[in-house]
Amino acid sequence: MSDLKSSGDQELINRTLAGSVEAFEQLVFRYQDRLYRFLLARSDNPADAEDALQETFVSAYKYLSSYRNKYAFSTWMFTIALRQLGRAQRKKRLERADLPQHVECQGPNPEQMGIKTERRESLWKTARVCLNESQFNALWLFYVEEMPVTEIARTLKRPVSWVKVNLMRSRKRLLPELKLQSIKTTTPAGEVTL
Amino acid sequence: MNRYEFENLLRHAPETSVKVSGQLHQDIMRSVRLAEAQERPSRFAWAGPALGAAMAVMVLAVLQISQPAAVTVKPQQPLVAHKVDSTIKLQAFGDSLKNLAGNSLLTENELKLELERLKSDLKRFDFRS
Repeated sequence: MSDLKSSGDQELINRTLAGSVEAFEQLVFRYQDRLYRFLLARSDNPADAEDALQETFVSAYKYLSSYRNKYAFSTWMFTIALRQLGRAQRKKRLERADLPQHVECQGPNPEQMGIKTERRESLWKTARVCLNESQFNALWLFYVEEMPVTEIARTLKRPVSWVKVNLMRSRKRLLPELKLQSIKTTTPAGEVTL
Repeated sequence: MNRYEFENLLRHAPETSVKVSGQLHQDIMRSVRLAEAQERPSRFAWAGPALGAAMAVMVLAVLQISQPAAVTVKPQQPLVAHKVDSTIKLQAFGDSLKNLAGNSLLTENELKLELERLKSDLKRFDFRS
């Protein structure tokens, strides 16, 4: 097992293709957290994210022979995860109405400042409301996954220029929101929160 | 808030540190193993084609056995009799022509020529010759 832990992705892929489920399990260990975070940030319901995660790994296992190492394995995995999530969302017809109603994108409404300070924990939820799906995906893959722009373009099936422009737009859109959150407010209990 | 702070917030949000539970990992691997079992060809997958081939061989063998062996076919008697019969008829016709020639006013030479012409006509039109 320690041998598998030190193996590279391609080595694990080759071993999986040769029939080793243990090698694939190692790949699951490597990517499960990253994919789960991404899927969870895109889903309202943890159960949907879990289902999509399972389906992602099952699909990856089934079609592993079709993977070409021209691009990173993570790119391939995120592409599958996105596809699975889209399928699950189409199936379940997730509605954005389920999201917290206080999350808004425009305008520094002073009455909402107190609420917005509580939104620090749902920073990515704010991003999800303010940005469209592709912008959100690009932002996540860039900042959380630290994926190169070319790999993001590959994952999202968009041109590199689109990714660059939309990363910039997303920052412009989100920055005022986050500035609001950075305003110090005093809670009723007298604690100062950021 | 500057860009660095903004990016730092995005990178270190609570959502970015969620981990998969052991139970979920087990569920994933169970699904993968289930998929593997479904994908794996059955131990008896070869039995279908092999059975088909065996059946085909058996059918061919049965056909081979049931087909009668090649035998020499003797000429059928009615055909021979018919040929002899037609030869006799032609000879009789020739005799009658000779008799006719004897009673005819034509010269012998002319009659011979006529006879030859008739014979050649007969040969030409007699499909059995």
